[in-house]
Amino acid sequence: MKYEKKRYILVHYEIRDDHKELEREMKARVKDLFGAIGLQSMDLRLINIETNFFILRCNHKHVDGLLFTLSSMKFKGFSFLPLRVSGTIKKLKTVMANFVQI
Amino acid sequence: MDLHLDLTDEFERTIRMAKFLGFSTLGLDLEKSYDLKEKVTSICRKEKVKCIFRANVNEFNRSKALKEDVIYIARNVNEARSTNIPFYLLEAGNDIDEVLGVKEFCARRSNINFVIEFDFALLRLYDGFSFANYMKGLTKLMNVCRRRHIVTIFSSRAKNLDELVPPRTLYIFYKILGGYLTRREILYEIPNREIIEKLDLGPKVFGRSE
Repeated sequence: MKYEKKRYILVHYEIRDDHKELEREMKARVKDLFGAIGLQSMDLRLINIETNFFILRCNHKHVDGLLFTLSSMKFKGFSFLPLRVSGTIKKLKTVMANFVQI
Repeated sequence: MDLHLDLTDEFERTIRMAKFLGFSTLGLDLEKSYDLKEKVTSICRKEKVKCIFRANVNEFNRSKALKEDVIYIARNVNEARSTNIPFYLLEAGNDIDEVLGVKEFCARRSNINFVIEFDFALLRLYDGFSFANYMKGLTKLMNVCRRRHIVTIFSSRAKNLDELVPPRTLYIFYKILGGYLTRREILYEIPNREIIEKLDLGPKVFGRSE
């Protein structure tokens, strides 16, 4: 089986909320924009939630689609701000630490 | 370059954040809080971000004089028709009817002394069929702009820190609308050449054909 490359996206989000509902809303928006086949091939997963941040994982070929989806949606009146795309979670944690200083 | 931020509060944090995302120039709409102009300018200078201010074309109609560091905006086709300003930005429209109105305006106007601005924030208002409909309208407008060589710029129209849109996402928006130019051209070179450099040279340069 061919190994599928992944990308991790660090997203800034003001409030901490129920992650299951958050994931469901994101998947609904992806399905709305790209359809069920788009959602399946994107392989979207919520990896990590911290205060004001969460990390998403997706297939590397669909990063642009996911970035567009995140920026063009609202969840409970708040928007998402995708900060950085990386191939490793470790790098994103460094970015998160730098961002907290801002 | 993000030439449309409707900031109402959290100026400092939002400007710092825009710099973190990679923007070098910001266009700030301070229509409701114009007395804060000096404060915002000093924040931008401190953060080493260039800022220009946006004003409505009606302001030009009232004062009959161009101000430096200000770009004039027509919010709809009626404002664009009634103004005699040498150069202005025309917003693409909040809904499909307005977008199609702007499209007709672009297709018929003989004197092209305006730039079309596509705002990302409006996409958050739509979902499902309404989203598809709105995007279809924007794509039609984009095709007319390309055919008639009208300059297009892409901005976020962020009201606060969270509504900022990273440069990469603005470029994705442009690609979805059928664009083929590079990211650097769309987000830096074209707005810089068509708007910022003209502002630097002074208001008299506006309206000259190239």
